[in-house]
Parts: sequence; C-alpha cells; structure tokens
Amino acid sequence: MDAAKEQFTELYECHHGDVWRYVARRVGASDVGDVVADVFLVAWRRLDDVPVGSPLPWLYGVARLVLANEARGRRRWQELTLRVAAEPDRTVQVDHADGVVSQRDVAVAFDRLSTGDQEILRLVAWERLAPTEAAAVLGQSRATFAMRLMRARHRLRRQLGVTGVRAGRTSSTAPSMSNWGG
Amino acid sequence: MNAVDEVRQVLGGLDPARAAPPCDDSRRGQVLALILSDDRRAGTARRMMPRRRLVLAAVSAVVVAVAGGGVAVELYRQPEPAYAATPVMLTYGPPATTEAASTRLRRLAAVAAQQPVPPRPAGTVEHLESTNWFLNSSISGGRTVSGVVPQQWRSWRTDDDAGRMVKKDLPPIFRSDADRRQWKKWGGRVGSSEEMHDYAAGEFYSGFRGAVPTDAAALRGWLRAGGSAPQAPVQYLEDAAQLAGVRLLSPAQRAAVLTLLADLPGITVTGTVTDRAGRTGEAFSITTDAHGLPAQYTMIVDPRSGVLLGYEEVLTTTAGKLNVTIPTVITYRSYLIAGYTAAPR
Repeated sequence: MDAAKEQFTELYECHHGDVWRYVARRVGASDVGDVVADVFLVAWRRLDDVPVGSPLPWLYGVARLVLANEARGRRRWQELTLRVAAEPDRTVQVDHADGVVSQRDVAVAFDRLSTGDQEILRLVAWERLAPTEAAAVLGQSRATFAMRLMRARHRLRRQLGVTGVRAGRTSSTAPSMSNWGG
Repeated sequence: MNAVDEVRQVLGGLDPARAAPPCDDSRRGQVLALILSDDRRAGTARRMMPRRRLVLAAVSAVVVAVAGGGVAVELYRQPEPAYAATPVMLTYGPPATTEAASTRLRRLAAVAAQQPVPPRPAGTVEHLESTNWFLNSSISGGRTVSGVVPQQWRSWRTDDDAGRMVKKDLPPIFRSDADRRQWKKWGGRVGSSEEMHDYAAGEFYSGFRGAVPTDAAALRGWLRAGGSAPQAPVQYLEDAAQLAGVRLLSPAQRAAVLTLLADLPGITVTGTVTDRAGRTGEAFSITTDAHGLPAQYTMIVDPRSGVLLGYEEVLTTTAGKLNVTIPTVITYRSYLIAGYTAAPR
C-alpha cells in the first residue's frame, strides 16, 4: 500500500465513527451511510489539504457542505411534508415522566432557534468540540465563534424561559434559569 | 460552570446519535475499498460522482470480488430502518391564559354554546371528514414501517343512523427516498386505496346511536351506554375524540363535550398549538398509564368557537415492545369538515 493509501486508511479508521455520528445527528438514518461515503471520498481526493494534527474539524466541515448540498435538493420535498412529515429517528430516551417533560421543553426551545444557533450548540454539545475546533468547522475565528456561542446560549436560555413556564409545569427537573448554574 | 459545560449539560440528553446504530464493519470496509480504488488525482479535477452512483458502484465492486475470488460475500443491502416512521410531534406554545384547565374548558364550553346553530337544508345528512393515523394499524408482522400512511375518513349519516363511511389511505410520507424504495420493495402501496361501507338504518357506528346529549352528565352515561364504567377518566377523553370523528356536534353538544372534559380529574392545559391542518388551537391533556404504556392524551379546541380540531396520543416514557423512539406520536385525528350535505349516491 502506498503512503497516501496508508494515511487515508488510518484517517478513515480513526474518524469514521465520529463522522458517522455527526451525520446521523443531522439526517434520517437511511441516508447516513451515503453522506459519510461522500465525505471520505472528498477527503481522499483532497488528502493533501487534511490537517495532520487535527483532522476531525476539517472532516466535519466537509460533512457540513455535503449535507448543505443534500438539503438544497430536498427542500421542496420538505416544504410539502412539513406538517405531517415522518420524523427522523430520534432518541430522547429518559426514564421518568418529569424527565420527558424537561427534555421536551429543551427540544422545543432548541427547535425554535435559528439553524445557525442550532449548529453552534450541536458542535459543542454533541460533537463535544472545543471552541477552537468548532470555529474551524465553521471557518471562523475562535473569537467570532465564542461570541456566537454566547449569543446562541442566551437565545436558548430565553426560549427555555418561555417553554419552561408553559402549561403551568413545575417540574423540579426542568432546566430553568435558576438551576442552570453558570 | 462555563458556557461549553452548560450547553453540554442542557443539550446532551437530546443527542440523537447517543444510541444510533453504528455502521457495520463490512459496509465500512466496502466503502473504504471503493474510495481507495478511486483515482484521487483525477478526482480533484472533476465533480464528485452522484450519491446513488456511489452506492451502486459499491455493489458492483462486491459483485466483481465474488466473481473473481469465488468467495461468498453478502451484497450490500439498504438496512431496514431501526424504528417505525411516526408523524412529527406537534409543538405546544405557552397557554393562552393562566387559567386552570377546568376553568378554561368551561369558558370554551360557554363560547361553544353561544355559537349559532347552523342551518340545515331539507333532505341533507351529516357529513364529516377527518384525517387519522394510528400506530397500531401501521405495524404488522413485526416489520418496521418506513412510511407514515394517514387515512382520510369521510362519512355521511342520516338521522336514523344509516349512512356511508369511506376510508382512504393517503399517499405515504417517507423520511427519505431510501425509505420510499424500501417501502416499494416490500410491496407497500405508494398510491392511495379506498374502502367504502354502507350502513342500513340503525347500523351506522354502533357505539354512538341516537341524539348526542346536550348535558355533560347525560353525555357521560350516553358515551358508555351498553359498556362498563371506564377504569380511568382518560377514557372519556378518548370517547370524545372518537365521537367528534363520526358525529356532527351542534353548539350545545360541543358545549357538553367541553364541560365533560373540564370535569375530568387530571386534565391539564398543554398550551397553544398549530394543529396538523395549520389551525390555531388550545390543547388540553391527560397523562396516564391507564392503558399500559405511559401516554399523553390531548384534545385540541378552537378557542373562537369551541369546535374540536384534533386529538393526539403521545407515548412519553417507554415504547414497550413498539418499534418507535420516545417521545412519539402513536395516534392523531384531525377533524376537517363537519356540516350538512346531500346524501351520497
């Protein structure tokens, strides 16, 4: 095996799972494999551009573009089925009814954010990237990302303030401004 | 706690990939082999191959390997979806008022009672139309269903309980094109089908016969006529949902239904909502495990008229043996048309 193939195989084996999960968080389960294959095909063809020390943010950045292309093709379909569409597989597994209520409040609040805010929060919460890495995914400076993260967090808090008090719920486990800490 | 930790703590539980099935090793290896076979120097100068071509190419590569090496290799198959497709959850906003559910429902009952009685031209019959979806009729034979198939119900009922019911499967809604292909492969219909039943006098919808009472207490008894008293209050909410799907309710009858709901122990305000038909309503729920799995049963009411707009059932805590994720919609009814029309021919 030549050096390029060896380098790519190592990259593929190390990060396939991470890229798989990144994509699985953003599209329906049946499309994940195809999108991930596209991401690594790009990585293979642009192997010289892949950062050696920290390739994952770069791979996420490619995945983001592949998904954006995918989304453009599907937008019309999505608009047609917006109200009664089948949900992508979601896994909000919790054990107690109070927990469900709080998870649903958070989910509702998150859904009300802009797609830009959602992506910033996903990169931090789900991909568990440090701000410097997440900034690289979005092609931004660390300072810009930090500012956007702060604003996204505030908007999420504000939405939680709305959803958290709805329906007269008093669940002690529901996230609120007071028990978030920080 | 810093911003990063805080965001992770609040949103971490929603991560949809926490329990997502990983890619299987054989497929991962096939895709790697395919990519490595690509001329990467040439590839940078041309467009990336279309998505579906890549998958087909992967299948071809495996076929070649089988032919050349004489080794049995399972062809790549689109995996069955891990969970059945279910309708999107409705999003509930803040309540319209701070009133308790019972107070608010009584107020809506008063609104309903004040509505004018619609004129009924001579010779017309009750006509209703609704869209319905039930998980239990969508899963069969242990096979995971990849599309949501709502049913359109249209009914015509005479005063002597004769009538016609037409149930039509609407075209399925899929999560993805892959799910659509899987559906076709299993032999599922993509077009719509229709069933029609005509009922002689006294036979239409045997559960609810004769005039719907206009008094809440009388309505309770009428709903359970011929049956045993319900074990749980939620049964009345379910009965009301069923009733609204098959009977035209006058303003006074709607008021009785809303008063009955107001009296149910455990009923709560869920919030304002845009229903599946795009209408604004107020939602009231009972959450209970009376039927086994913990679920939220919700009625949606038009605050301007007291008209029942829709009904939802959502599993809240566990799916039991159902092949769905949690929380998930397991039933919805969306009441679209209720009026008088000429009898169908």
